[in-house]
Amino acid sequence: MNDAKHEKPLRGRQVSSSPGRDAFRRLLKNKVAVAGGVFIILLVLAAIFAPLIAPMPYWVGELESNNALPGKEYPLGADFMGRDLLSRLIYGTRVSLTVGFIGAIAAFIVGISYGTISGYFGGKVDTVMMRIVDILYAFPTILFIILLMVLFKTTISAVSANPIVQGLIAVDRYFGGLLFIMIGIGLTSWVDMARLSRGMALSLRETEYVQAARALGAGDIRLILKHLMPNLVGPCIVTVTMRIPGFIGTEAFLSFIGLGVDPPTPSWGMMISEGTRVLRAYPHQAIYPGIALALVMLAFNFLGDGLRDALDPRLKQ
Amino acid sequence: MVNYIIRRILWMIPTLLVITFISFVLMHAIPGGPFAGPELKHMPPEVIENLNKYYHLDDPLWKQYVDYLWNLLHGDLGPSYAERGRTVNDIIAQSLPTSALLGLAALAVAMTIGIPLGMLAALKRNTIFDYLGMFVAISGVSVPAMTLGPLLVWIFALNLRILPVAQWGSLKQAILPAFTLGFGSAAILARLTRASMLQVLREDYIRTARAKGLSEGRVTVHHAMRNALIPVVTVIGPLFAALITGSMVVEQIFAIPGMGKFFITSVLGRNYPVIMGTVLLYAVFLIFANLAVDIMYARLDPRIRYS
Repeated sequence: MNDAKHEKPLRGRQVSSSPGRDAFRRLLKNKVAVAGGVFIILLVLAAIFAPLIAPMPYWVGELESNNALPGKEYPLGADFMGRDLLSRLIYGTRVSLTVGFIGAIAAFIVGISYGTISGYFGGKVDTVMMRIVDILYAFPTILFIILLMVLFKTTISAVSANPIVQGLIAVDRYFGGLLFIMIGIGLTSWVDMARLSRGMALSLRETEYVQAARALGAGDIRLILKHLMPNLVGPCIVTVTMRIPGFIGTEAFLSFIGLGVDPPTPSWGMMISEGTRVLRAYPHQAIYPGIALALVMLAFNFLGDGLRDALDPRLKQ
Repeated sequence: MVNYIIRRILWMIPTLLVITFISFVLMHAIPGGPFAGPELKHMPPEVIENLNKYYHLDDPLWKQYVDYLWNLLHGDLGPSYAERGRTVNDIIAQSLPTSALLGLAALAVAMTIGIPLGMLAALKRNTIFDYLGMFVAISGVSVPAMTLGPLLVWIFALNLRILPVAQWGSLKQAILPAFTLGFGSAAILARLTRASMLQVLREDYIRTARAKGLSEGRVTVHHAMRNALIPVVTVIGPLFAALITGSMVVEQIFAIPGMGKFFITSVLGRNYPVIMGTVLLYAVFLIFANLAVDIMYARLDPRIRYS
């Protein structure tokens, strides 16, 4: 099989290419996807370097300048408590991106593992595991998360001597109320992914190279890790990227109804909620965070589209 | 086929059981009961005790759960703790039609905008129609209701003053919420229709039809569109289900008294029966919507057979 001796040796700048590298090159050709990716990277940088970029700390509010219009002192205006809108928007990237990435990671790791194992083993194992998934799938996600969030938030106010609970509460406070949102989204995001990867594992299981590997005596773990998963990763990355706007939207909605981050942590959803109260007089307070939200979702959608086209150019129409 | 449907419907029972169990556990895990809130602080403790006894809240949890299931079998979803004399059935009877109407209106918006746009985009590739359609598709998928809602309200209600700001009741009041909710789905439908149409137009039977000498119109409408709509129709079921759950956001923004709003209020007020009832209802919707999709797909595409 390995005819290295008979092939012409690679010379000079020729680099042997892998499917991954090919896909990456295809992705780079897609201008829109690249724009989305660059935008996301910029947001990540903004989130990390927020204290350096933001003109003002996000919690500082001068009540005399509440509801200030965009101007020199407040580039995008101020909210009802006199806090600079631009700074809060910048800090808001932390919340949205954290939620998006954590949801994606949870979906990816837990979902793929679960689905691959279920699909690979098939039979009884698969039936049981998929029944569980089906039942969870029928549970309306938003309702579940809302129940969870109320549970978490009220457990915070209830004084508990349990050190574990106290520890969690401290961590949560450090993150500005994000921890439980991440837990909530993490608990619900994997189900969808599990279904998808199980379907793929089922079909991949019957392919010839898997059967060949099995005939050569490869064990289950080796088959799953070295043969199934690398082929699953591609479409799964695409799907997860397309799901991220959903996670961000869920967090925004939770903050919108007050079940999200704790003030003064800025979340775009909460900013929209506060802004709609003064929509008639100060529309910018609700519209700017709304635009930010839409742009982030747009970026991830473009990136996801680009990834999908890059990973399987046959699908492109 | 009938077997399949019956099996799916039978599976609904254990699914709903598990869902009620999870909701029940979560609900009761939330500290404080319906009558422990700050508004009732001034009540003498005996009154609160009586209230708890009246609603069987002092029974052991397993008994409460079993009682709930028993009542459920008889179609009784329990009383509402927040308003005396009102049962959950009442609340649902009142708020469900509202949510359903909103969902249907949004679906109508989505279908009337999305499908024609997608068709046009496919038929007139690389023209202004194509780009317009794709622009709608992209923005619809990315612009969430929370962005679109306030924006539309600001433009149409507050500035142009041609539409009311919020609430529900008249046809005019329905326009903005339906559009806000339906825009995302319109985008999905547009994209799907376009992709599907493009694929169908490349098929051999289209070429055959043209070779037979049929007019382009007949080819398009009678042959292409029909087949292109198959995947579109299959998506409408889950789309509708997503609209029902997504209506929560729109109901909040436009102050529409639908199930979503009641759910949020009852969770915050620990109105247990309303919570359980709403979750159950949403879940039933979801299950039926998914089932409807599978059935419709099997019906329309004779190549698919369910064992």
